Amino acid sequence: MRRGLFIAAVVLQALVLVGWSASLEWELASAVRIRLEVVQRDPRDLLRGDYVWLQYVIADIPLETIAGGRPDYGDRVWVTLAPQDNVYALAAANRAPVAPGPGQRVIVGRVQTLSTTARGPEVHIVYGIERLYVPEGRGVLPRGGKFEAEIALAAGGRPFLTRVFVDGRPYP
Amino acid sequence: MAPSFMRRLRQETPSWVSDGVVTAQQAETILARYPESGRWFQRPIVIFSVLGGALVVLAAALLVAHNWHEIPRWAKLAGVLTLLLGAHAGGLVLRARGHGLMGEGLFVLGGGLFLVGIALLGQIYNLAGGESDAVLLWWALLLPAAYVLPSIALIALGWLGASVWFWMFVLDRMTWLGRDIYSNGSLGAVAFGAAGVLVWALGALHGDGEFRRARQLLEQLGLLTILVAMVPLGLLRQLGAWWSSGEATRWPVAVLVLIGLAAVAVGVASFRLPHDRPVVRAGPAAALLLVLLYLFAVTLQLIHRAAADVFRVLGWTNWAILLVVALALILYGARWDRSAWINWGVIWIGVDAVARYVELVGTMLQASALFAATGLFVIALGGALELLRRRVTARATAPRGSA
Repeated sequence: MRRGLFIAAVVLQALVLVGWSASLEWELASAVRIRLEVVQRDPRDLLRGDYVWLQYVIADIPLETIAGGRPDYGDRVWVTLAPQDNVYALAAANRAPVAPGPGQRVIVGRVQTLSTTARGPEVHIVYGIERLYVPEGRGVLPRGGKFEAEIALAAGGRPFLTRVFVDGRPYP
Repeated sequence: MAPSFMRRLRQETPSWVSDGVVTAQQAETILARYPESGRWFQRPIVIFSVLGGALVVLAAALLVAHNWHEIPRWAKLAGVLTLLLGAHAGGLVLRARGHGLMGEGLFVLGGGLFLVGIALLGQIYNLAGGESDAVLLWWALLLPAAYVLPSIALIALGWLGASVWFWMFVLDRMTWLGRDIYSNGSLGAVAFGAAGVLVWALGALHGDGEFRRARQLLEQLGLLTILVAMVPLGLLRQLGAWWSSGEATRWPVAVLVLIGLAAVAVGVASFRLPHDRPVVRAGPAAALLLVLLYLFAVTLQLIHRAAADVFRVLGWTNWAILLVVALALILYGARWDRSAWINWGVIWIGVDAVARYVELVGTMLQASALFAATGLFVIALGGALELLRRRVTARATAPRGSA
């Protein structure tokens, strides 16, 4: 009896991994591809290996841009993006789900920090696409290039980082 | 067999023989019935199995972390799943063949490989953020498997994962608990104190049956956490504005829910303590409810930004509660033969004394009076425990019918 329950519990673990992977694949397959401009990079995770740390231009949003009031740490924010010079750029931000206009896309992030900069109060949003895992020893991007990230956007606004481009060429 | 039972048996049998309760031959027969096997974690096979399993997990983790872009995603996942299922199957086979301790090593390997599998998915799909969610998924699925088996090594691994998860959860300001704590750092100590009581209660719920070792592990983890949280809270006034001020005064709902959860857990756990008179049995739970009441009071004062005098009173309350709980641990540890409780009680008194020294460092006369009082109290406590031990021993050796 107990042996059977243990086997069931372990099989459940395997099924969770397979099911999770399948759901991610399904979301990726139905997602649209967009490009975002990247401004920073970088190191190493002991479990997942070397990665490039990416910070997006759309990560820092002026507080007054966010419709629906001042968000708190961890709150979700729906950011509307519009095409601009071959990449997608910030068009609007809202604390509630919004329908994008023609040609626009919506990406969902969460508030990580609230700070005041020289440009005024800002909200730093994380989208869960800040790390690009790369083969060992490839975690440092060439300096001085133009960085862009290809993002697969699922229907609900959940993003997946698929590739990074340096001066238009895929990295690594 | 409980090590304390075997130790006691070896201590008592010579007096049984000298008092004529049993013959020397009978005493030898009784001792032979319970061979001394040593503590389970002192057995080399356990240490080597668990260490070996952990090293193989690290090897697998680094192999995955190397990130082979040439290998298809599904092949990588299939590889980790094969290793995971293989490790658990091997553990079951070894256990069935009587090599239970070696099997524990393979179960640890399987449990670790599940975490590697979760990390692999994060790597494949470039998932950033929400690391605490990944660890939550790991221990939440690991513990059921560990308990149904049951495997003490896997249970310990699962609770280790839960502890790591709680740390990550508290330190992440994007979680509902972390958000409260970032609004006022002192609430972090309150949250850890409440979590410590919750862990102690979860340990007590394991009872004295087959999960006795899990109880011991969790009780001690809980007591350590409470102590680590309570000491800085007792020094709030000394730490000044940096420690007690916060950017917001909103109600820290998550912290309050945690305190409430811990209170319920302590109440339920009191029914799983050793059988005794109801009033006596309620003692440990009452002592820990005092801790929770204190944590609640501190939370209220932090929200209302109370004056320094209030924090001075809370500091003295902290000192008194630490002493009361330490005393309860020592007395109940002696009553119910739980030596770990006695050890922790003594540690609590020692740490409390050092904390009070730090607190009173400006007024040496007060510190001197406090240390003298505490020292005399500890000596009196030692004497009382010795009297209790002699009384128990005398009752056990008294001829039947004389009582």
